Amino acid sequence: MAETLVRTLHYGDFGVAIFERFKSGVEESRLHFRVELVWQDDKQEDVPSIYLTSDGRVLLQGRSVSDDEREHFKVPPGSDLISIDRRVIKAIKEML
Amino acid sequence: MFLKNFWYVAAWDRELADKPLGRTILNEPVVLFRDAEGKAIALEDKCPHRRVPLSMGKVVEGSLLQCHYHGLRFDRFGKCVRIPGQESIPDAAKVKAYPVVERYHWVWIWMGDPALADPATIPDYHYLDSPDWGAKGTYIHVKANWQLIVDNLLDLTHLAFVHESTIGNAAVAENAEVRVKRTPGGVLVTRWMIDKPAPPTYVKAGGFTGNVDRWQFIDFLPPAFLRLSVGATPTGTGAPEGKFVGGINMRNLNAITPETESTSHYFWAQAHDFDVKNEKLTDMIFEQVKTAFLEDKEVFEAQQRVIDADTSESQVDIHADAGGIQARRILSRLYSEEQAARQAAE
Repeated sequence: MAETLVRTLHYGDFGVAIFERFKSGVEESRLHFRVELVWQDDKQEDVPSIYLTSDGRVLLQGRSVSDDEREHFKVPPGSDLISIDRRVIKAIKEML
Repeated sequence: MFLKNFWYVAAWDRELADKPLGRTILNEPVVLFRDAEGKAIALEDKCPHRRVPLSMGKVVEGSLLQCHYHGLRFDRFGKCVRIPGQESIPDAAKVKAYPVVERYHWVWIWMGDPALADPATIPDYHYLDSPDWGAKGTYIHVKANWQLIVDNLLDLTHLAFVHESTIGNAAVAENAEVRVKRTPGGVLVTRWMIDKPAPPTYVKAGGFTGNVDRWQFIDFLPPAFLRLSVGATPTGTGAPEGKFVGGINMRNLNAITPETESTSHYFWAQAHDFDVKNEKLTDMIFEQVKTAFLEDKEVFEAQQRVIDADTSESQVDIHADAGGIQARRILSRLYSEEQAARQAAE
C-alpha cells in the first residue's frame, strides 16, 4: 500500500526542470484537447508558447499592440495585432 | 533509418550467462558473452572463415570465443588467435569488436565510431538498481519499426483505448491539456489530469477509493530512450503544487534498440518508490504494465504489417501526436547530421 507520509514530489529528477504548476480554475465546460508547445532556445530559456486548440486554431503567446505603438510605427488601422517574441518564429519553424 | 553514434541497450545483464547470445542490432549481427572475469564482450556475430554465427560457439580459455564450425578462436578485440591445424593466421581473420558498458542492469553497446563512445552519455536509468526504488523489467521482441514504439510512448492518449483494463481510462484522452517542451536534447511531454477516476492498476497499487490528481511526464532522449514519471494522489491533496500525500509515484523506463528496419528489441521496466522492498507489490505492478505492453505489441505489429503492405501511404497527424512529431524531427535532424559527418570523413 502507498505510504501516507507527506513528502515533496521531485518531478525534475530527469535532470530537466519539469514541474509546472497546474493552472487551476480552468473550467472544463466541454470536450477539448489543447497542446502547448514550448521551444527552448540555445540558452536553455523557454520561448513563449504556441497553443494548438481542439477547434483547429493556433494561438501565439504575446501581447496586444497598443494604440500608441500603432501610431508610432504607422501600422494601418483595423484588425487585432499582437506583438510576439522573435524567437517564437523560430519555434514555429521548428515545431509546426 | 538508424543512428549509429549512440549507446543502445543490447541485453539485460542476466541474459549474458554461460552461452554466447546472438542478437542483431541496427542490422548488424552481434554476439555477446562474458569472459572468465564476468566482463561483457560484444563481437560481430559472423566467423570470417565461412560466416557461421559465432554465437553458435562457446567461450574457451576464459575469454576466447570459439567458432562452432571449425574451431577458430577470437579474442575480446575480435582478432583470430587460433586456427586449428594452422600456424599462420591471415590478417583478415578478424571480426568487429564493439564498445560495451554494463550499467543499471543493462548491457549497453556502441554501434558507431568507437572513438566517440563516451560512457558519460549513457542516459540515467538509476531507478533500475537504486535501493530507493523497487523495479522489475523484461525484454520484448517486437516485429515493428522502433519509431512506432517511440510514437506510442510519447502519446499516452492511447491508454484510454488500448489499455482500458489496466492503466487507462477515458480521463487520459479527453479534456486534456498537454505541454510539449522541445529542448535542444530531447522532448518533454507534461500532462496533468485533475480530479479524475483512478485507472484499475492505480486502484490496485494505491488503494484509491475516490478521484485522483494524476500526472504523466514523458522524457524522450534520442534515439529511443523514454523515461516516464507517472503517478497519482487523492484529488485535492496538492500534487500539482509538489506535495505527495498518500499516493503512488512510479517510473516506466523504456529503451528501444532497432534490430532491423521492421523489428525491434524492447527493453523496459517499471519502478516504484513506495514500499520498495515489497516484491509482491513490485510483481503486481510489473504484471499489470506488462499486460498493457503486450497489448501495445499487438498494435505495433499490426501497424507494421499495414505499413509493409503499402509504404507509400501517408499518415494524418492529430494533436496527441505533438510529442512524437517533435521526437521525429529531432531524430531526422540527427540522422542528417550523422550522414553529413560520415560523408565529410569519407
